[in-house]
Amino acid sequence: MRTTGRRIVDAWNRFWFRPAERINLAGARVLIAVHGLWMLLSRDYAALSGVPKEFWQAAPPGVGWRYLIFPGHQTVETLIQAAAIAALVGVLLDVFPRACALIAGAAIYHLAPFEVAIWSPTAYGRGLTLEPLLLPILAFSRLERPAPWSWRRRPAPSWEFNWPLRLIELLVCEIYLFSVYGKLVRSGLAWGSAEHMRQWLLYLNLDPRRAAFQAPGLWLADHPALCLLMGVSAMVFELGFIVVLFRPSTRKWLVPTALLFHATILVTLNIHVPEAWLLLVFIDWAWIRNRVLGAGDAALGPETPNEAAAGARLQAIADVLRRSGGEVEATLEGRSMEPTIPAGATIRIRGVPAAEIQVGDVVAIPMEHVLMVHRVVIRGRRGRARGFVVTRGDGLWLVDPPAPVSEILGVVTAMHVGGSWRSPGPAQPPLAQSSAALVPALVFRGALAVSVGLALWLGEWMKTAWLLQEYGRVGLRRRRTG
Amino acid sequence: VLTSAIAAGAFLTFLALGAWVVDGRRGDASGTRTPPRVSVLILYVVAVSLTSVLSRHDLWPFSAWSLMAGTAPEAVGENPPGDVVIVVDARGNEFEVDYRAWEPFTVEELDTWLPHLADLDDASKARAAADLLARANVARERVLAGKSPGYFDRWLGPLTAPHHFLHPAIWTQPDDVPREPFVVFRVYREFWQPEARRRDATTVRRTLVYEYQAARSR
Repeated sequence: MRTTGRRIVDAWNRFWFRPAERINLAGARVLIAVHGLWMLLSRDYAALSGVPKEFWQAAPPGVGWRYLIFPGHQTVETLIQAAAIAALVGVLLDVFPRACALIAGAAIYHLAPFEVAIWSPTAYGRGLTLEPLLLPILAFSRLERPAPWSWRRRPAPSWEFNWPLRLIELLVCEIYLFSVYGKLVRSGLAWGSAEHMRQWLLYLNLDPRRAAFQAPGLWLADHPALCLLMGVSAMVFELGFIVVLFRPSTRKWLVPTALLFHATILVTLNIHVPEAWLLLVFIDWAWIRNRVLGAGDAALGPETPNEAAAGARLQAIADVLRRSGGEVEATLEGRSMEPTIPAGATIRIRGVPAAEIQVGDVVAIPMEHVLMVHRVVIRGRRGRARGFVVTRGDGLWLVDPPAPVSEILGVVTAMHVGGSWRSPGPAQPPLAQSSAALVPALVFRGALAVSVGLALWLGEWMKTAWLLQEYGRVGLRRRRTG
Repeated sequence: VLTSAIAAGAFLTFLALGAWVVDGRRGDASGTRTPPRVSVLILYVVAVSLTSVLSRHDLWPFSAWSLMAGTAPEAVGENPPGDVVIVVDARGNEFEVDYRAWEPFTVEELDTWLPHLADLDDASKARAAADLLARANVARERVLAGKSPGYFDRWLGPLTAPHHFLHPAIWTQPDDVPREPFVVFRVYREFWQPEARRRDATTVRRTLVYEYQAARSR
């Protein structure tokens, strides 16, 4: 029989350390960075350092050392604000994301209180309350490259992707739980009474200089039953919202309810809580991805044991083929190589040395547990770039991210179409497509010429758009050694 | 001061624990050393957050989130303050000021600060008032030029984050402001009771708290 302590430890581990996919943490990362940028670009914290010193005479004692706020250094503060913005862009674009998250978190901890420090020591509710905690949490988590949308090196689900997101979600839930606790302690259950709600509605709506929306709140104030409903439902909602942490299925209705709650507050009480947008951390991006791109897409969905075995088998075949120069036959499944190679065509892939791969060759590249068949459109020319190619499906306009030449399994030498075998030949894309394809190809050609790292980084971003395209992949049918 | 010191210490400890987690991950291929450290970090965040809310001392960014926790005020005037800034042009016409004119101040913070004006000596009061009057005039000129009175929307335009409290925009076109500069800065304190004002809008009582006149060139 398990002890109570053991049960608690097990529950703790299940909650915080259950393996999770990276995409949800990645979604939270993007959201937090965008939210931080939104606030920083919507204010001018640095300029408050330059206002006359008279405004700072009412600043609470201790605020200076607590946030390192020493007014009168506007240029320095402007540089810090610029650094915070740059760091958030870094978090967003996956450029040293952990270091950038830490820098942005520390800078925001310093900058955000400027808004209120002339009279208050705490900047809660002004939009940047959570960032000084959320950004460092991202910095402490595993945010290593490649980018979260990578299909080439997608990591397996891990507990490392779970606990940071859980902690971020907990901090968002605190907005509501702590808020209702404060109401109960300071005002008691009477806070939700019709009379009290009416009082708040009148106070926040009667002064036309301070209320952008007067009519809805005043109308509500004159309906006691609706006031009671508003007060009680607000308290019940705030008390119950934390359920989303423990019952993921409730997110589908509790998170929209929370957004509706804030919209109501906005219109009836004229209060804007910018942190409310962080509720979107509860979105299940893995679920959406599978819905949008299809759960059956093996290259995108969670890896199953069968797929893992297929990937291992493919790697073994690729090794033999490269060493022996033999051939395999395979069936093309996708339409990305049309009109050159139609879907369903049988193709022959011959292993060739890396040095023989040329622009124009149709090549097969192992991609986890499948093979991708596309045409080489760029081959790096100098230095490290010589070891990389950029491919594209003949039926597509977006290029694929750069791939090492050493990963190419072989060249497609023939295809079986209309009862006979023939060479794939050169690409013959329509004029519109070839024109559209020119831009990405030129971008990657330029990037490879500058730096392989830059080209790979661009490639990570390209995948976001690339995932929306159909691509050709083949299932190995039988192996033929030569 | 003590609360500020505790809050700053709590944030620094949070960063230190995070560094400890990152350090534990190095060389921890088996993944056995990191989870206990992560657990300590999580427990710490939870403990400090609870301390903040239970003690009712906001340890921002470990916030107590006491949003509208108190009872709604039965009278406005002294607490909460009902201070209103009015500016006057050379002809003696009074104008209310658009909330965006005070940027980089946000209007709700400035409104809360205004009662502290009384704590300043006369020279300091005049300097603060002159600064705000100048901001109102800059905003007036911007409106006359067909621009927004404030500049927070310089990067994001209509997508700029709204203020904590939603104020109406009252300077939306050049006709909303005078062509001549504002020369007087006044602070009025308004006294009103919500229930009475709902019944009769004229029950608002107003007294002049402070007036500053800009020096006029001869």
